[in-house]
Amino acid sequence: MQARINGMYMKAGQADACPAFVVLDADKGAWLYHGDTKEMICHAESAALTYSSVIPGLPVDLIFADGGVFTPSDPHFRWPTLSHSSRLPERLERYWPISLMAIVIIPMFFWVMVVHVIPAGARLSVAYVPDSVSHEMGEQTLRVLDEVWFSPSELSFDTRQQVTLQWRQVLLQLNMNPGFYQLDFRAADIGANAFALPDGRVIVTDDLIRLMEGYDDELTAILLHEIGHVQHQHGMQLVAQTTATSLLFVMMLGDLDGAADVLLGAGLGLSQNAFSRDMEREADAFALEKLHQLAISPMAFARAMRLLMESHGVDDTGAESQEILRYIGTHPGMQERIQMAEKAAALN
Amino acid sequence: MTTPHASANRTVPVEFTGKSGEYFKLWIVNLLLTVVTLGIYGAWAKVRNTQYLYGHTSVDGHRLRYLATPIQILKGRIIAAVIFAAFYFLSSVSPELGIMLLVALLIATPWLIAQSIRFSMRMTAYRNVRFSFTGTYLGILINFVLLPILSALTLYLIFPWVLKKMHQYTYENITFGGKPLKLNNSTGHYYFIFMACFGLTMMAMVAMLVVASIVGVGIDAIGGGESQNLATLFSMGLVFAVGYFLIVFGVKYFFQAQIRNHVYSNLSLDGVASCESGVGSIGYIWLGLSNGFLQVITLGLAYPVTQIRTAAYLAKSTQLTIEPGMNELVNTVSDKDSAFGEEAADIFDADVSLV
Repeated sequence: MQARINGMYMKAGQADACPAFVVLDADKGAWLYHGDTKEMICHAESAALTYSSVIPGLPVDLIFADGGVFTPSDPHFRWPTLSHSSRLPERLERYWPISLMAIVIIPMFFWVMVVHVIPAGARLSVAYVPDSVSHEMGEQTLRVLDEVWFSPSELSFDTRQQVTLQWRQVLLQLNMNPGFYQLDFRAADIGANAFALPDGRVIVTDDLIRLMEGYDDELTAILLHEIGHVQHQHGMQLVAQTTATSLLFVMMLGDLDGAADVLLGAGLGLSQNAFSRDMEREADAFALEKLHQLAISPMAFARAMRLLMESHGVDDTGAESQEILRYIGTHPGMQERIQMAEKAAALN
Repeated sequence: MTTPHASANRTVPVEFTGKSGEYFKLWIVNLLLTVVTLGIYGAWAKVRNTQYLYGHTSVDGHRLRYLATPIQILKGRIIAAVIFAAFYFLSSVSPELGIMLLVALLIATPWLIAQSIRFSMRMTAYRNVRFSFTGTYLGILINFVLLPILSALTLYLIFPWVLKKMHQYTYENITFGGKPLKLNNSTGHYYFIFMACFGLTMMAMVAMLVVASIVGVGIDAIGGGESQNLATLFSMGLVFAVGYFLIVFGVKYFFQAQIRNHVYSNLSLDGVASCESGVGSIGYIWLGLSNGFLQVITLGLAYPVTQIRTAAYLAKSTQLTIEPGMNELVNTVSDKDSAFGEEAADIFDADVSLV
């Protein structure tokens, strides 16, 4: 007769427990006996037996087909009848080198996913987003902006007409659809600024038009930068990216709280800013390329940046602090952007 | 083992046998597998982590068991994640749709809370008998949403009473072997705990002011001058910063310890068992502060260690009195349950933590 495995037995769904022991036979079947009376309680074929998970430091329950449970008293006892696959997790969990590797691999994996895989996926997938979604998103965004930030433009009709005509001219020269890239004027407290919405609409603030009075090429450079965002579908890309990233985080770290949560959140925020910097660079490159097609000097772009910088109260000497801000800001340093334009000018 | 004592009540400790190192390895390996499978293994990880913590908790020689299966969790989690992604994407595309979805989520929240507690209770078994939860949408809505709003309207003057009602509703809807728990908590004691926290905060603030002025006067006494003034300001600022941190967290853990003791010491299952909790305030404050410190210096890696430390400390402070009725209990809960509610509550952060 084989060795006895001592433990405790509870009938299906009953709290009452009795001491018991199990003897395994050659066919992996189990014979269950009462611990005190030594009477046989039942016999089960191996096919009728299941086991609870194999967890470090815990006994593995033997579960009979009717739901009765036998728990070995030795927490380290492992049934010889357990399958290899059911014992694998415990083996991995007991092995220190894997834990140490995990400490290195987990952050690396996150880095690769968040910085490379998801942005690439977002870039590829935005091509399949129907135009109606972009259109809807643009409309809705403008409605919210109008309510929160903007008021109707205070520029004269003539000024607006003139800027619009000039912009149409530019688009026609570039073989782009003037009906798609419509210009909208708004008054806002945020100073000289321009936005492009996913539906192709470009919003300019009154302050920007006033600032760029007499600087037609410079205004063109700024508007081209904005439609660069639309051309590359940056708005939709950001939405796809943040959705995928948040999904990744809740799926992977659903059970995690405390400091790690906060830390990962901060890392996520910083990496998001890095993407928007990349997007700004892409839009800059688009603008410079189109300026070249229009035979406008890239210096116009550099001058536009300077004008914007001055209007927002940053001067050239602020370059040092810009360098530091570059790591946390959403735009590349102004200095860097001006230099890029000047380099392009030198190449021509 | 049980039959010879069948006629007498026995008071037994709650034993916790989990070990920090062992659980850390289990946790991190499961996290690794979760991450490299893009979250799929997370369902297995959750089950294994919980099984470790439950299985290492035993009362009267019987371990708690966590009976959820990974597939069950995975199904619930995938449905919840798809809804979450759709939710997130749609609200980014259209703010108006976002507000509508948010309202829908708010309406669904009491249901999610009920489902979440229900699932975790039904997956918990002691001696082959499962727990369950009988709370309803309306009950959760009244106790967890409407009463807190009412307490805000009274400038939180009735908040201790509201908290008492919330605990009572939660615990008295938990059943074991089909019998509901009884929570005999007193409104007066909740007010007493809130007053004690208020008094403690006041005393700690006075102590902080005293320490700060002693430090200030001490540095001043060394000598005058501009740099001395700066040093005085700096060190007093430091005392205030550290003091603020200690007061906020110290009072929080003091509060938790007091509430847990009151709730658990008045919790019973008629004819089956009753509970006694004696969590020491100083010990629990120290546990909480040191756990927080560990988490910060290890960038969150110490999370499993803090779980083990907390479980061990709470187990040590808890006792159960088992009555003869325990042996006659019969399970009334089937194992067919959907994990969707729980997983959705998790993802949308709608869960309620029990004390």
